[in-house]
Parts: sequence; structure tokens; C-alpha cells
Amino acid sequence: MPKTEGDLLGRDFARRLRAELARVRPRYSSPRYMSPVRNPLRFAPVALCAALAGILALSGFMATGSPNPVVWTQRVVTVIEAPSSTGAPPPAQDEHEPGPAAAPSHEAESKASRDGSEPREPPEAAEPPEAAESPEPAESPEPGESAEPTDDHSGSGGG
Amino acid sequence: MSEPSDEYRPGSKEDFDRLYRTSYPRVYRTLAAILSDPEAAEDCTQDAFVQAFQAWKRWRPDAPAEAWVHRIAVNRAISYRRSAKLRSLGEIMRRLGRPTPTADPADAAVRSDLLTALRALPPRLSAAIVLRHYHGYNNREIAAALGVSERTVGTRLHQAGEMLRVVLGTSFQPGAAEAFPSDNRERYAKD
Repeated sequence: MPKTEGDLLGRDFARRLRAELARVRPRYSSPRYMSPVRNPLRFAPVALCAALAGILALSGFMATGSPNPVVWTQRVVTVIEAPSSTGAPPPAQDEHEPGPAAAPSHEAESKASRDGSEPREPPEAAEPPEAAESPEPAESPEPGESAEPTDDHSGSGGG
Repeated sequence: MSEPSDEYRPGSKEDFDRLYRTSYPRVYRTLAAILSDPEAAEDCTQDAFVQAFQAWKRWRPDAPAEAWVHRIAVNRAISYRRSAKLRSLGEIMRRLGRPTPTADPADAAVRSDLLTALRALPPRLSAAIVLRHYHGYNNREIAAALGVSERTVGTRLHQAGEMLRVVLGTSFQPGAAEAFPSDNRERYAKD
């Protein structure tokens, strides 16, 4: 059998390598690929949603004091409507707003007087008028600053 | 390689079990020659088979299955050594002032001049050496296992031979490039 220089060198080295690696005993553990896939991030979206829902529920409970989500939504509507109505300071709109805003307040007062004998069901229905009442503090200083409301009063009084 | 690749069917669980039984000790020994830690060799070997199993349906029989697993395992070992380098500084800092941990007698058998020299090489070079001289792969099979061209395999074998010759002295003689024939395939190890 012809032996090349490469064979001799290779076999010499290979013999040593074989001897060394033969002493290496493979550690046999259970095949990891057979175990079920354990992806630690598999439940991450669910955990994130649950955490967000928990935070939302907790904050809703803290803000309203009620565990009822319906109350939370009503509270949110109330809070959102209040800044939107107070955040519209143009005087041209203020001339038209006092009418509609004043009407619900009278209605609320009349309802409150009527519901005095009724059980507690109306308070939820009476909350929207409260939201309508909130613009009143914003309206009261503005008419004082401008002379337009006085003109209206003088005009109405004179006519 | 121990079995022809056409005996394996992609996606077949039974065939992958057979590939695992056949190739695990060979892949483990390859990584044991690259990594100095037996536990790391086992861990990387297991990880390689997990990755291979996940991609088993996509495996194409144009490359030998064991070379394919070797490719995954060597890449895993390279990643491990890369991250181990980053951890080494922290380990040194942590062990400062503490007594040196006693060596595991079982690990002592793994340490030798030859394996120490192999582990000192870049993992791509030591992998080429082990695949050639321990597993008996030819250049084409090493190229398939490492994902490089046959020309690159020849270059790596030459570089590894030169470096080992310097470290081991008499184990290698001049003409290291010819010490790694690409045409004469020999099977040195039969597990």
C-alpha cells in the first residue's frame, strides 16, 4: 500500500488525536430535543395583556371607588367631556353655550326635586347633568370680563 | 460519515432519533476538541440537536445529515466561545482572592497537550482539524459541515497545521499543507 507523506503525517497526528478523544466520554443526558418546547416568551403576550388589564382595573377602581367597569367608562366620559367643554373659551361660543348649559341645570334641579322620593337609581342618570354643570365656573368669570352679556341683559330688559 | 444521507428522511422522527444515536458521540467529541469545558460541549451538542430537530423538515439530503448537524454544532460552539470570552473578564474578577477550585478528576482526562493546543486554535480551524483527522471527512464534507468552500477548507487546514506544528513541535513536520490530503479519504474514527 503506497504511503504518501501526507498519509504518514496525517496518521501520526490522527492516531494521537484518536487516542486523546477516545478518552473523552460523551455525557449522555436525555435528548433535549425530545422534551417539549419551552419557550419562555411564549406566554409573554398573555402576561402583558393580563398585567395591563390589572393595572387598568386597579386604576379604575382607585379613581372611581367602584369595581363596576360601567362606572369607570362613565367616569371616563365625564372626565373627557369636562375638559373639552372648559377648554373652549372663545367668547362667540360662550354666547350660545349658556342657554343649553343652563337648561340642563334646571332640568337636573327639577329632576332632583322630583327624584327626592325615588330610590337611588337616578344618580347614574343624573351624572351627565353634573358634567353640564361643570362649565359654569368657567363661564362665570368670562361674562364678567366682557361687556357683551350686559348688552344682552340690557337688550332683553329694554325690549 | 457513519451512514449515507439518503437513509434519512426529512421530518421523520424515527430517522432523527437514529441520527441522534449515531451522531451524538461524534458531534460531542468534535465540540470537546473545540471547547475546554465538557459541560459546555454537552450543552452545545444538545442545543445543536434541538436546532437540527426544529429544522429537520427543511433538511435537504444533498448534504450528509451528520455534516449538517456538525455545522450547527460548530456554529453553536463558536457562539459559545465568543460569549465565553466576554464572560472571562467577569469570572476573573469574581475569583480574585478566592482559592482555586479543585479540578474535576473526570475532566482531567479530557485535558492533554494535543487537546489543549486544539482548543487554543480558533474554533473554525480546530473544527476543520477534528473533522479531517478524527472523523475522516474529506474537503468536500468539511466544506459542507462548516458552510465554506473547499478552498477555504484547505486554507484553514493549512493554517491549523502550521499553528499546531509550532505548539506541538515534533508532531508536525514541514509541508503541513500536504499533510491534509483532500482526495484520500480515510476513516479514522468509527463510533
